[in-house]
Formats: sequence, structure tokens, C-alpha cells
Amino acid sequence: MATPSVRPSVTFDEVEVGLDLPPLAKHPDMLQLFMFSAITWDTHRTHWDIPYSVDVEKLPGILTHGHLQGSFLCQMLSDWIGPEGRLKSINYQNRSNTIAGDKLTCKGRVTSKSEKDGAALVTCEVWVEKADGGVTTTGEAIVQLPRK
Amino acid sequence: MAPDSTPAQIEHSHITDEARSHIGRTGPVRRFQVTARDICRFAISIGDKNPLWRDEEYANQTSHRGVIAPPMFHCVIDLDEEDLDQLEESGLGKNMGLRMEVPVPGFPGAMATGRDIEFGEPIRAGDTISAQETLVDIYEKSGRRGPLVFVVSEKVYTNQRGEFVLKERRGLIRHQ
Repeated sequence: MATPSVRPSVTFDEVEVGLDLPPLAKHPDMLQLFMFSAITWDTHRTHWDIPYSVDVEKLPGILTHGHLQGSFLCQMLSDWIGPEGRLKSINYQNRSNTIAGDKLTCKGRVTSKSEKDGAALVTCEVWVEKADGGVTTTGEAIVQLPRK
Repeated sequence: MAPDSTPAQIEHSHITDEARSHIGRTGPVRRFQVTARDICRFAISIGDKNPLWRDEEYANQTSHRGVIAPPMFHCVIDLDEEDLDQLEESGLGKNMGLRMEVPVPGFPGAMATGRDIEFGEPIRAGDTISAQETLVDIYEKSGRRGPLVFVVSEKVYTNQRGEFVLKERRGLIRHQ
């Protein structure tokens, strides 16, 4: 496979407060939840065993891992900042259950810009939405961007 | 974090002295060797095709000077390995870390809050990552469906050069 060329990273100067980040659509299905459970050694049946989840835990299906949604938010951020940006921090809270098959969209918006110890920092609110507009995860991230 | 929780007027505390004595406890240091295959498999599992996670030639052209792991890769090394006969009916391990070891009598339920992560040096193939958990806080709130006890731990990851890799703060909500 040909190596893709490195695209220019977004710079601090071109980012303004209020900017919407490019959204990222994700559609985690059972196969993806299985793979994520396997690589993270997560044996909890709520993530892969439908009869257990529905009959025992009374869930509407198998649960999408909270940290898989966290991983999606990080993917949205790293896609946006490019290879020369740095994700400095993220915090997020899982607000409601998401099950396999739900169509999710990660979104974000720039809330402030600051400089600290010479680093150009951008703070963003980030969240995960379901197709019905319900928000399943909310959080905040700080990224460091190159200046020019 | 529970969306229905509000700052509480706690009439009597559900946090025992024994539970409180867990604050400051540290778990064992766990070490994990990172391979390019682990990184690639994690990237595939989250559906992330960024070449920074798997294309050495591409990554060498960036200031990272090589492939790095996606930010949430530490999830791969977060959970302890346990034998099949050590798993509960739910599939959960019996050894779930310091947060589950705090006794909260009358609060059998447990659910995760979110995570609060500060990133340092990226993880790379060939790294040996050390991780250690500390129980940092226990507090209570009243939720819509009754009292909630929050048990918070912090896990710090460093690499084989002693560099800071990341710090993750996580809560566990115990409910009745």
C-alpha cells in the first residue's frame, strides 16, 4: 500500500473559538465490540453475550464500551489536529447506555485558546450523539497545535 | 458520572472508617511490553485508519519520527489477566482493582463513571510500560434513586525510561 503523504496540521492561528470540529461518524456493531473486548481483555458479558445482557441484565442489547466511545472522541481529535498536533488531555463522562448497532457521531467545538509555557493550547468541548440526537457521552479535551 | 446526581445534603455518611482507610492505597506495579501488532490490532478494533498508528514510513516523516499508539491504547494494558475459573457469572474478574476492594456495605451495584486522562510521552512498539493504581478519593452524593458512593482511583503509566506516559483518573459509582 502506498504511503500517504503527510497533510499539513491545523495551526493555532487558524483556529477560532466557536469553530465546529469535523464530525466523525461511527457505527460500532457486534463484531467491533467483540474485537475491542478481545484486544482490551474485557470479559464482561454485557459487551458480547446477547442472552445474558437482555435476560439477566435487562439491557436493550449489548453495551458499547464507554472507553470505546472515548477512543472515538480521541480519533475525531487526532484526525482534526493532524500528526503535528498533540492531544494533551481528555475527560469524558458516559451519560447513557449505547448498544451495538447504534449509529453514533462524535462532535466537538472550540471553547477557548490559551498559551502556557510557550505551548499554544486549544480547549474543545466534545460529545457523542446518537442518531436521534440524544447525547451519550460528554467531555472536554485540550490539544496543543503548531503555530504556523 | 450519573447525570441525576446533585450535591448532597448527607444526613448520615455511608462511608465507613474502613472504607476511608483505603484512600492512599497503592496497587502493585504492572509491566507490559508493547508490540507493533498490539498497536495495529487496537487501531483496527476502534476503526481508526490513521497511518500514524501503523505506517512506519509515513510516521517517520512526522515529528514523532516513528509509529506511535493511539491515545487510548493503554486500555489494552489496563485490565488484569485472570483465569477462567476466577471469572464471575457476569464475566467480570474477581480482581477488579482497588476501587472494587473498598467495602461499601449495602451498595452492591457498581457502574463506571467516565475517565479523566492527561497524556505525556506517546506509547511506541518496544516500550515496556509500567502502570500503578492509587485509590485517591471516596465521596458520596444523593442521586434521584438514592444515595451514591463514588470511589475514585488514579493510574499512572510510565515507560522504560521513567518518562511520564499518562495519568488516568476514574470513578466507580456504588449504588443500592
